[in-house]
Amino acid sequence: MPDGDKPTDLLSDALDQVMQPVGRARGLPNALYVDPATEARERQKVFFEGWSCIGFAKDVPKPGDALPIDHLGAPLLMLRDRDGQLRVFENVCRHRGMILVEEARNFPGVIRCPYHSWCYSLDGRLRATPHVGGPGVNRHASVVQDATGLNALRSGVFLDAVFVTFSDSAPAFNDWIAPLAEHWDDYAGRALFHGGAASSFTLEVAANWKLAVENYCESYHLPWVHPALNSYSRLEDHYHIETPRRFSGQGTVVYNPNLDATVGGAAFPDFPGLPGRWDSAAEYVALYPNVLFGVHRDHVFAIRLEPLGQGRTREHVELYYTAPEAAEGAAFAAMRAANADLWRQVFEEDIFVVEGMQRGRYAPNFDGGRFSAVMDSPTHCFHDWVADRLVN
Amino acid sequence: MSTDVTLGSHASTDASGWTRQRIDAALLNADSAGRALLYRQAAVLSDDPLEQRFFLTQSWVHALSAGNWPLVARLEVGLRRLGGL
Repeated sequence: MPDGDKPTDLLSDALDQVMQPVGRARGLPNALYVDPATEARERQKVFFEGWSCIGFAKDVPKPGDALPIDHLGAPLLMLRDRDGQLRVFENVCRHRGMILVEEARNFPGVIRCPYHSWCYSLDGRLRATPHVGGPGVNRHASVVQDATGLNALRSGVFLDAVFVTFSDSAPAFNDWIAPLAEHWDDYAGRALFHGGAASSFTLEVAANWKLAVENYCESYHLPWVHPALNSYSRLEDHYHIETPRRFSGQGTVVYNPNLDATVGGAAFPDFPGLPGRWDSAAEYVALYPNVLFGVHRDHVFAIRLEPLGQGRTREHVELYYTAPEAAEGAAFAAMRAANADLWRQVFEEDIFVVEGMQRGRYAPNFDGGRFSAVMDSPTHCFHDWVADRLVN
Repeated sequence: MSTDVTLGSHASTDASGWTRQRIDAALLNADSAGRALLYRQAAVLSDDPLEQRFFLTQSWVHALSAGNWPLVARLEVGLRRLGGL
Protein backbone atom coordinates (compact mmCIF):
# COMPACT_ATOMS: atom_id res chain seq x y z
CA MET A 1 0.00 0.00 0.00
CA PRO A 2 2.31 2.78 -1.19
CA ASP A 3 1.96 6.33 0.05
CA GLY A 4 -1.14 7.97 -1.37
CA ASP A 5 -2.69 4.77 -2.72
CA LYS A 6 -6.07 3.68 -1.51
CA PRO A 7 -6.03 0.61 0.71
CA THR A 8 -6.42 -2.65 -1.11
CA ASP A 9 -9.93 -4.07 -1.20
CA LEU A 10 -8.97 -6.69 1.35
CA LEU A 11 -7.54 -4.16 3.75
CA SER A 12 -10.40 -1.78 3.06
CA ASP A 13 -12.92 -4.45 4.05
CA ALA A 14 -10.98 -5.11 7.24
CA LEU A 15 -10.92 -1.41 8.09
CA ASP A 16 -14.66 -1.18 7.52
CA GLN A 17 -15.09 -3.93 10.08
CA VAL A 18 -12.97 -1.99 12.55
CA MET A 19 -15.32 0.98 12.26
CA GLN A 20 -18.39 -1.04 13.26
CA PRO A 21 -19.88 -0.51 16.75
CA VAL A 22 -17.58 -1.95 19.38
CA GLY A 23 -19.71 -5.03 20.02
CA ARG A 24 -19.50 -6.06 16.38
CA ALA A 25 -16.14 -4.64 15.37
CA ARG A 26 -12.88 -6.42 14.71
CA GLY A 27 -9.52 -4.95 15.65
CA LEU A 28 -7.13 -3.46 13.14
CA PRO A 29 -5.82 -6.07 10.70
CA ASN A 30 -2.44 -7.75 11.08
CA ALA A 31 -1.02 -5.99 8.04
CA LEU A 32 -0.88 -2.72 9.95
CA TYR A 33 1.49 -4.33 12.42
CA VAL A 34 3.65 -6.60 10.31
CA ASP A 35 3.38 -5.75 6.62
CA PRO A 36 5.89 -3.12 5.49
CA ALA A 37 3.66 -2.32 2.54
CA THR A 38 1.28 -0.51 4.91
CA GLU A 39 3.88 1.70 6.58
CA ALA A 40 4.08 4.58 4.12
CA ARG A 41 0.35 5.15 4.08
CA GLU A 42 0.12 4.98 7.85
CA ARG A 43 2.93 7.50 8.20
CA GLN A 44 1.24 9.86 5.78
CA LYS A 45 -2.39 9.51 6.85
CA VAL A 46 -2.05 8.83 10.58
CA PHE A 47 0.93 11.06 11.37
CA PHE A 48 1.83 13.63 8.74
CA GLU A 49 -1.66 14.73 7.66
CA GLY A 50 -2.74 15.36 11.23
CA TRP A 51 -1.06 16.49 14.42
CA SER A 52 1.52 14.28 16.10
CA CYS A 53 3.98 14.66 18.94
CA ILE A 54 7.67 15.14 18.17
CA GLY A 55 9.14 15.97 21.57
CA PHE A 56 8.97 18.20 24.60
CA ALA A 57 9.44 21.93 24.94
CA LYS A 58 11.62 21.49 28.03
CA ASP A 59 14.34 20.14 25.75
CA VAL A 60 14.92 23.60 24.23
CA PRO A 61 14.68 25.81 27.32
CA LYS A 62 16.84 28.78 26.26
CA PRO A 63 16.87 31.06 23.20
CA GLY A 64 19.11 29.49 20.57
CA ASP A 65 18.61 25.93 21.84
CA ALA A 66 18.03 23.55 18.94
CA LEU A 67 17.22 19.85 18.87
CA PRO A 68 17.27 17.75 15.70
CA ILE A 69 14.50 15.16 15.63
CA ASP A 70 13.89 12.23 13.32
CA HIS A 71 10.11 12.00 13.10
CA LEU A 72 9.30 8.79 11.22
CA GLY A 73 12.18 9.52 8.88
CA ALA A 74 11.43 13.22 8.46
CA PRO A 75 14.34 15.35 9.68
CA LEU A 76 12.99 18.14 11.88
CA LEU A 77 14.56 20.86 13.95
CA MET A 78 12.86 22.08 17.11
CA LEU A 79 14.32 25.32 18.42
CA ARG A 80 13.63 28.31 20.59
CA ASP A 81 14.10 31.63 18.87
CA ARG A 82 15.49 34.86 20.31
CA ASP A 83 12.05 35.91 21.54
CA GLY A 84 11.56 32.62 23.35
CA GLN A 85 9.07 31.25 20.84
CA LEU A 86 9.27 27.55 20.06
CA ARG A 87 9.52 26.82 16.35
CA VAL A 88 9.79 23.67 14.25
CA PHE A 89 11.40 23.53 10.83
CA GLU A 90 12.51 20.88 8.45
CA ASN A 91 16.16 20.34 9.37
CA VAL A 92 17.25 20.82 5.78
CA CYS A 93 19.05 23.61 3.94
CA ARG A 94 16.96 25.07 1.14
CA HIS A 95 20.04 25.01 -1.08
CA ARG A 96 21.07 21.40 -1.65
CA GLY A 97 19.01 19.63 0.99
CA MET A 98 21.87 19.14 3.44
CA ILE A 99 21.00 18.31 7.04
CA LEU A 100 21.60 21.50 9.00
CA VAL A 101 21.96 20.37 12.60
CA GLU A 102 23.28 16.95 13.62
CA GLU A 103 23.08 17.17 17.41
CA ALA A 104 21.45 19.20 20.16
CA ARG A 105 23.22 22.49 20.75
CA ASN A 106 22.78 26.20 21.31
CA PHE A 107 23.15 28.70 18.49
CA PRO A 108 24.41 32.10 19.67
CA GLY A 109 23.90 33.44 16.15
CA VAL A 110 22.50 32.02 12.96
CA ILE A 111 22.23 28.39 11.87
CA ARG A 112 24.93 27.81 9.28
CA CYS A 113 24.69 24.98 6.80
CA PRO A 114 27.94 23.00 7.02
CA TYR A 115 27.99 22.50 3.25
CA HIS A 116 28.04 25.95 1.55
CA SER A 117 27.35 28.05 4.65
CA TRP A 118 23.96 29.38 3.80
CA CYS A 119 22.79 30.92 7.07
CA TYR A 120 19.35 31.03 8.65
CA SER A 121 18.05 33.19 11.46
CA LEU A 122 16.35 31.39 14.33
CA ASP A 123 13.02 32.53 12.92
CA GLY A 124 13.84 30.58 9.77
CA ARG A 125 14.69 33.48 7.46
CA LEU A 126 17.54 32.99 5.01
CA ARG A 127 20.07 35.47 6.36
CA ALA A 128 23.18 34.92 4.24
CA THR A 129 24.13 33.19 1.01
CA PRO A 130 27.90 33.59 0.91
CA HIS A 131 29.54 33.64 -2.54
CA VAL A 132 26.19 32.83 -4.16
CA GLY A 133 26.91 35.24 -7.00
CA GLY A 134 30.61 34.35 -7.26
CA PRO A 135 33.50 34.85 -4.84
CA GLY A 136 32.63 37.58 -2.39
CA VAL A 137 29.29 38.34 -4.06
CA ASN A 138 26.68 37.37 -1.53
CA ARG A 139 23.40 38.07 -3.27
CA HIS A 140 22.08 36.88 -6.61
CA ALA A 141 18.74 37.22 -8.33
CA SER A 142 18.49 33.45 -8.73
CA VAL A 143 18.06 33.05 -4.97
CA VAL A 144 15.29 35.19 -3.51
CA GLN A 145 16.13 35.27 0.17
CA ASP A 146 12.68 36.29 1.36
CA ALA A 147 11.19 33.24 -0.37
CA THR A 148 13.87 30.76 0.65
CA GLY A 149 13.60 30.48 4.41
CA LEU A 150 13.54 27.18 6.24
CA ASN A 151 10.41 25.14 5.66
CA ALA A 152 8.39 25.77 8.78
CA LEU A 153 5.89 23.36 10.26
CA ARG A 154 2.85 24.48 12.17
CA SER A 155 3.39 23.53 15.78
CA GLY A 156 1.71 23.75 19.15
CA VAL A 157 2.41 22.80 22.76
CA PHE A 158 0.09 21.10 25.22
CA LEU A 159 1.28 19.95 28.65
CA ASP A 160 4.82 20.55 27.34
CA ALA A 161 4.39 18.06 24.48
CA VAL A 162 5.22 19.58 21.09
CA PHE A 163 2.96 18.72 18.19
CA VAL A 164 3.42 19.38 14.49
CA THR A 165 1.58 18.81 11.28
CA PHE A 166 2.93 18.65 7.75
CA SER A 167 -0.49 19.38 6.30
CA ASP A 168 -2.06 22.67 5.32
CA SER A 169 -5.47 21.09 5.67
CA ALA A 170 -5.09 19.96 9.28
CA PRO A 171 -7.18 22.04 11.69
CA ALA A 172 -5.61 24.86 13.65
CA PHE A 173 -3.74 23.48 16.66
CA ASN A 174 -6.00 25.19 19.18
CA ASP A 175 -9.05 23.68 17.49
CA TRP A 176 -7.46 20.25 17.36
CA ILE A 177 -6.40 20.24 20.99
CA ALA A 178 -9.59 21.89 22.27
CA PRO A 179 -11.49 18.71 23.22
CA LEU A 180 -8.69 17.48 25.48
CA ALA A 181 -7.88 20.98 26.73
CA GLU A 182 -11.53 21.32 27.72
CA HIS A 183 -11.69 17.84 29.23
CA TRP A 184 -8.60 18.71 31.29
CA ASP A 185 -9.46 22.34 31.83
CA ASP A 186 -8.14 21.91 35.38
CA TYR A 187 -4.64 21.21 34.01
CA ALA A 188 -4.41 22.86 30.61
CA GLY A 189 -2.34 26.03 30.63
CA ARG A 190 -0.74 25.40 33.99
CA ALA A 191 3.01 25.84 34.34
CA LEU A 192 4.72 22.45 34.56
CA PHE A 193 8.17 21.90 36.02
CA HIS A 194 10.18 19.00 34.72
CA GLY A 195 11.89 16.89 37.34
CA GLY A 196 15.27 16.82 35.59
CA ALA A 197 17.39 13.97 34.36
CA ALA A 198 16.08 11.50 36.93
CA SER A 199 12.55 12.20 35.72
CA SER A 200 13.28 11.26 32.10
CA PHE A 201 13.66 7.73 30.88
CA THR A 202 13.12 5.73 27.73
CA LEU A 203 11.93 2.21 27.12
CA GLU A 204 12.38 0.34 23.88
CA VAL A 205 9.84 -2.29 23.05
CA ALA A 206 9.73 -4.82 20.24
CA ALA A 207 6.21 -3.87 19.26
CA ASN A 208 4.30 -1.60 16.94
CA TRP A 209 3.55 1.82 18.42
CA LYS A 210 -0.22 1.22 18.17
CA LEU A 211 -0.01 -1.63 20.65
CA ALA A 212 1.38 0.74 23.28
CA VAL A 213 -1.62 3.01 22.73
CA GLU A 214 -4.07 0.13 22.82
CA ASN A 215 -2.69 -1.17 26.09
CA TYR A 216 -2.54 2.27 27.69
CA CYS A 217 -6.15 3.10 26.86
CA GLU A 218 -7.83 0.46 28.93
CA SER A 219 -7.98 -0.57 32.57
CA TYR A 220 -9.12 -4.12 31.81
CA HIS A 221 -5.59 -5.48 32.12
CA LEU A 222 -4.71 -3.82 35.41
CA PRO A 223 -5.49 -6.67 37.83
CA TRP A 224 -3.47 -9.11 35.76
CA VAL A 225 -0.53 -7.09 34.56
CA HIS A 226 -0.19 -4.55 37.38
CA PRO A 227 -1.19 -6.36 40.57
CA ALA A 228 0.60 -3.86 42.80
CA LEU A 229 -1.15 -0.95 41.15
CA ASN A 230 -4.44 -2.76 41.49
CA SER A 231 -3.88 -3.24 45.19
CA TYR A 232 -4.71 0.38 45.88
CA SER A 233 -6.69 1.28 42.75
CA ARG A 234 -9.00 -1.57 41.88
CA LEU A 235 -10.52 -2.33 38.51
CA GLU A 236 -13.90 -1.19 39.73
CA ASP A 237 -12.44 2.20 40.66
CA HIS A 238 -11.78 2.95 36.99
CA TYR A 239 -13.88 4.54 34.28
CA HIS A 240 -13.49 5.01 30.54
CA ILE A 241 -12.63 8.29 28.85
CA GLU A 242 -13.68 8.49 25.23
CA THR A 243 -13.87 11.33 22.76
CA PRO A 244 -14.25 9.55 19.43
CA ARG A 245 -11.64 10.32 16.76
CA ARG A 246 -9.60 12.41 19.25
CA PHE A 247 -8.55 10.61 22.43
CA SER A 248 -9.43 7.83 24.80
CA GLY A 249 -8.21 6.40 28.04
CA GLN A 250 -9.13 5.63 31.60
CA GLY A 251 -9.58 7.37 34.88
CA THR A 252 -9.50 6.23 38.47
CA VAL A 253 -11.33 7.60 41.47
CA VAL A 254 -8.60 6.30 43.75
CA TYR A 255 -5.25 8.00 43.43
CA ASN A 256 -3.10 7.25 46.42
CA PRO A 257 0.43 6.36 45.36
CA ASN A 258 1.73 6.25 48.93
CA LEU A 259 5.15 7.55 48.01
CA ASP A 260 5.40 9.00 51.49
CA ALA A 261 5.80 5.51 52.88
CA THR A 262 8.92 5.17 50.76
CA VAL A 263 10.49 8.46 51.70
CA GLY A 264 9.33 9.21 55.18
CA GLY A 265 6.08 11.08 55.14
CA ALA A 266 6.78 13.86 52.64
CA ALA A 267 4.36 14.76 49.87
CA PHE A 268 4.67 16.61 46.61
CA PRO A 269 2.77 19.90 46.56
CA ASP A 270 -0.50 19.77 44.62
CA PHE A 271 -1.45 22.11 41.80
CA PRO A 272 -3.14 25.04 43.50
CA GLY A 273 -6.87 25.45 43.19
CA LEU A 274 -7.77 22.07 41.75
CA PRO A 275 -11.41 21.04 42.21
CA GLY A 276 -11.93 18.57 45.03
CA ARG A 277 -12.51 15.59 42.78
CA TRP A 278 -8.80 15.53 41.98
CA ASP A 279 -7.97 14.86 45.63
CA SER A 280 -8.33 11.17 44.88
CA ALA A 281 -8.68 10.99 41.07
CA ALA A 282 -6.21 10.55 38.24
CA GLU A 283 -6.67 10.20 34.50
CA TYR A 284 -4.66 8.56 31.74
CA VAL A 285 -5.37 9.51 28.15
CA ALA A 286 -3.91 8.54 24.80
CA LEU A 287 -4.03 11.57 22.55
CA TYR A 288 -3.97 10.10 19.08
CA PRO A 289 -1.71 9.19 17.55
CA ASN A 290 1.35 9.04 19.73
CA VAL A 291 1.31 10.68 23.11
CA LEU A 292 0.12 9.22 26.40
CA PHE A 293 -0.64 11.59 29.23
CA GLY A 294 -1.26 11.00 32.90
CA VAL A 295 -2.53 13.73 35.22
CA HIS A 296 -2.61 13.71 39.00
CA ARG A 297 -3.06 16.43 41.58
CA ASP A 298 0.67 16.46 42.30
CA HIS A 299 2.35 15.51 39.02
CA VAL A 300 1.86 14.94 35.32
CA PHE A 301 3.59 12.58 32.98
CA ALA A 302 3.76 12.38 29.21
CA ILE A 303 5.00 9.54 27.05
CA ARG A 304 5.93 10.16 23.44
CA LEU A 305 5.77 7.04 21.32
CA GLU A 306 8.48 7.12 18.69
CA PRO A 307 7.97 4.48 16.02
CA LEU A 308 11.36 3.05 15.10
CA GLY A 309 9.93 0.68 12.52
CA GLN A 310 6.83 -1.40 12.25
CA GLY A 311 7.84 -3.73 15.07
CA ARG A 312 9.80 -1.40 17.32
CA THR A 313 8.89 1.60 19.45
CA ARG A 314 10.81 3.89 21.76
CA GLU A 315 8.81 5.32 24.65
CA HIS A 316 10.06 8.67 25.96
CA VAL A 317 8.75 9.15 29.48
CA GLU A 318 8.84 12.61 31.11
CA LEU A 319 7.63 13.52 34.60
CA TYR A 320 6.58 17.02 35.62
CA TYR A 321 5.75 18.58 38.95
CA THR A 322 3.67 21.45 40.19
CA ALA A 323 6.31 23.86 41.43
CA PRO A 324 10.06 24.50 41.06
CA GLU A 325 10.86 23.19 44.53
CA ALA A 326 9.08 19.89 43.81
CA ALA A 327 10.86 19.56 40.46
CA GLU A 328 14.33 20.65 41.47
CA GLY A 329 14.59 20.93 45.25
CA ALA A 330 16.90 18.59 47.11
CA ALA A 331 14.20 17.97 49.69
CA PHE A 332 12.11 16.22 47.04
CA ALA A 333 14.92 14.35 45.26
CA ALA A 334 14.21 11.02 46.92
CA MET A 335 10.50 11.33 46.20
CA ARG A 336 11.14 12.21 42.57
CA ALA A 337 13.35 9.16 42.25
CA ALA A 338 10.73 6.98 43.92
CA ASN A 339 8.01 8.33 41.67
CA ALA A 340 10.10 7.72 38.54
CA ASP A 341 10.85 4.20 39.76
CA LEU A 342 7.18 3.55 40.38
CA TRP A 343 6.17 4.57 36.88
CA ARG A 344 9.11 2.80 35.28
CA GLN A 345 8.03 -0.38 37.02
CA VAL A 346 4.44 0.03 35.84
CA PHE A 347 5.48 0.71 32.24
CA GLU A 348 7.97 -2.15 32.25
CA GLU A 349 5.21 -4.48 33.41
CA ASP A 350 3.42 -3.67 30.16
CA ILE A 351 6.33 -4.64 27.92
CA PHE A 352 5.68 -8.38 27.77
CA VAL A 353 2.07 -7.64 26.82
CA VAL A 354 2.75 -5.33 23.90
CA GLU A 355 5.60 -7.50 22.68
CA GLY A 356 3.41 -10.59 22.96
CA MET A 357 0.64 -8.90 20.97
CA GLN A 358 3.19 -7.93 18.33
CA ARG A 359 4.30 -11.55 17.92
CA GLY A 360 0.65 -12.55 17.89
CA ARG A 361 0.09 -10.36 14.87
CA TYR A 362 2.06 -12.85 12.77
CA ALA A 363 -0.67 -15.47 13.27
CA PRO A 364 -2.20 -15.73 9.78
CA ASN A 365 -5.69 -16.50 11.07
CA PHE A 366 -5.86 -13.75 13.69
CA ASP A 367 -8.49 -11.36 12.41
CA GLY A 368 -7.71 -8.33 14.55
CA GLY A 369 -9.55 -9.69 17.55
CA ARG A 370 -12.82 -9.10 19.34
CA PHE A 371 -13.53 -6.29 21.76
CA SER A 372 -15.41 -6.49 25.00
CA ALA A 373 -18.13 -3.93 24.47
CA VAL A 374 -17.90 -3.15 28.17
CA MET A 375 -14.16 -3.14 28.88
CA ASP A 376 -12.44 -2.47 25.56
CA SER A 377 -14.27 0.51 24.16
CA PRO A 378 -11.36 2.97 24.69
CA THR A 379 -9.13 0.66 22.64
CA HIS A 380 -11.80 0.30 19.97
CA CYS A 381 -12.09 4.07 19.96
CA PHE A 382 -8.41 4.24 18.96
CA HIS A 383 -8.73 1.52 16.32
CA ASP A 384 -11.73 3.29 14.86
CA TRP A 385 -9.67 6.50 14.59
CA VAL A 386 -6.78 4.75 12.85
CA ALA A 387 -9.12 3.03 10.42
CA ASP A 388 -10.88 6.28 9.65
CA ARG A 389 -7.58 8.04 8.98
CA LEU A 390 -6.46 5.29 6.64
CA VAL A 391 -9.71 4.97 4.74
CA ASN A 392 -10.60 8.64 4.49
CA MET B 1 43.29 42.67 15.58
CA SER B 2 41.70 46.05 15.90
CA THR B 3 42.25 47.42 12.39
CA ASP B 4 38.95 48.33 10.78
CA VAL B 5 38.98 47.13 7.18
CA THR B 6 36.24 49.53 6.26
CA LEU B 7 38.79 52.30 6.75
CA GLY B 8 40.94 50.84 3.99
CA SER B 9 44.12 50.14 5.95
CA HIS B 10 45.99 47.29 4.25
CA ALA B 11 49.47 45.85 4.71
CA SER B 12 51.17 42.44 4.46
CA THR B 13 51.69 42.63 8.21
CA ASP B 14 50.16 44.97 10.73
CA ALA B 15 51.30 46.44 13.99
CA SER B 16 50.28 43.32 15.88
CA GLY B 17 52.43 41.13 13.64
CA TRP B 18 49.71 39.11 11.91
CA THR B 19 50.68 37.46 8.63
CA ARG B 20 48.62 35.34 6.26
CA GLN B 21 50.63 32.31 7.32
CA ARG B 22 49.86 32.91 10.98
CA ILE B 23 46.22 33.49 10.19
CA ASP B 24 45.96 30.27 8.19
CA ALA B 25 47.48 28.33 11.06
CA ALA B 26 45.20 29.95 13.62
CA LEU B 27 42.09 29.27 11.54
CA LEU B 28 42.57 25.53 11.95
CA ASN B 29 41.71 25.58 15.62
CA ALA B 30 39.51 28.66 15.93
CA ASP B 31 35.80 28.67 16.67
CA SER B 32 33.38 30.86 14.74
CA ALA B 33 34.04 33.89 16.91
CA GLY B 34 37.77 33.54 16.36
CA ARG B 35 37.46 32.83 12.64
CA ALA B 36 35.39 35.96 12.18
CA LEU B 37 38.25 38.00 13.56
CA LEU B 38 40.95 36.08 11.72
CA TYR B 39 39.28 36.44 8.33
CA ARG B 40 38.72 40.10 8.97
CA GLN B 41 42.42 40.40 9.68
CA ALA B 42 43.20 38.56 6.44
CA ALA B 43 41.16 41.19 4.63
CA VAL B 44 43.14 43.90 6.35
CA LEU B 45 46.36 42.36 5.10
CA SER B 46 45.21 42.23 1.49
CA ASP B 47 45.67 44.91 -1.14
CA ASP B 48 43.31 43.22 -3.60
CA PRO B 49 39.67 44.44 -3.32
CA LEU B 50 38.33 41.14 -4.61
CA GLU B 51 40.36 39.23 -2.07
CA GLN B 52 39.27 41.64 0.64
CA ARG B 53 35.66 41.02 -0.31
CA PHE B 54 36.21 37.27 -0.16
CA PHE B 55 37.77 37.44 3.29
CA LEU B 56 35.14 39.85 4.56
CA THR B 57 32.51 37.41 3.38
CA GLN B 58 34.18 34.61 5.33
CA SER B 59 34.44 36.86 8.36
CA TRP B 60 30.80 37.89 8.00
CA VAL B 61 29.51 34.31 7.95
CA HIS B 62 31.46 33.39 11.05
CA ALA B 63 30.41 36.58 12.82
CA LEU B 64 26.79 35.69 12.03
CA SER B 65 27.36 32.20 13.42
CA ALA B 66 28.92 33.57 16.58
CA GLY B 67 26.17 36.13 17.07
CA ASN B 68 28.68 38.97 17.05
CA TRP B 69 26.11 41.47 15.82
CA PRO B 70 28.24 44.66 16.12
CA LEU B 71 30.90 43.02 13.96
CA VAL B 72 28.27 41.79 11.52
CA ALA B 73 27.01 45.34 11.11
CA ARG B 74 30.51 46.70 10.46
CA LEU B 75 31.32 43.92 8.00
CA GLU B 76 28.11 44.51 6.09
CA VAL B 77 29.12 48.12 5.65
CA GLY B 78 32.44 46.96 4.20
CA LEU B 79 30.82 44.35 1.99
CA ARG B 80 28.37 46.86 0.56
CA ARG B 81 31.23 49.22 -0.22
CA LEU B 82 33.00 46.41 -2.06
CA GLY B 83 29.89 45.19 -3.92
CA GLY B 84 29.50 42.02 -1.85
CA LEU B 85 25.98 42.79 -0.65
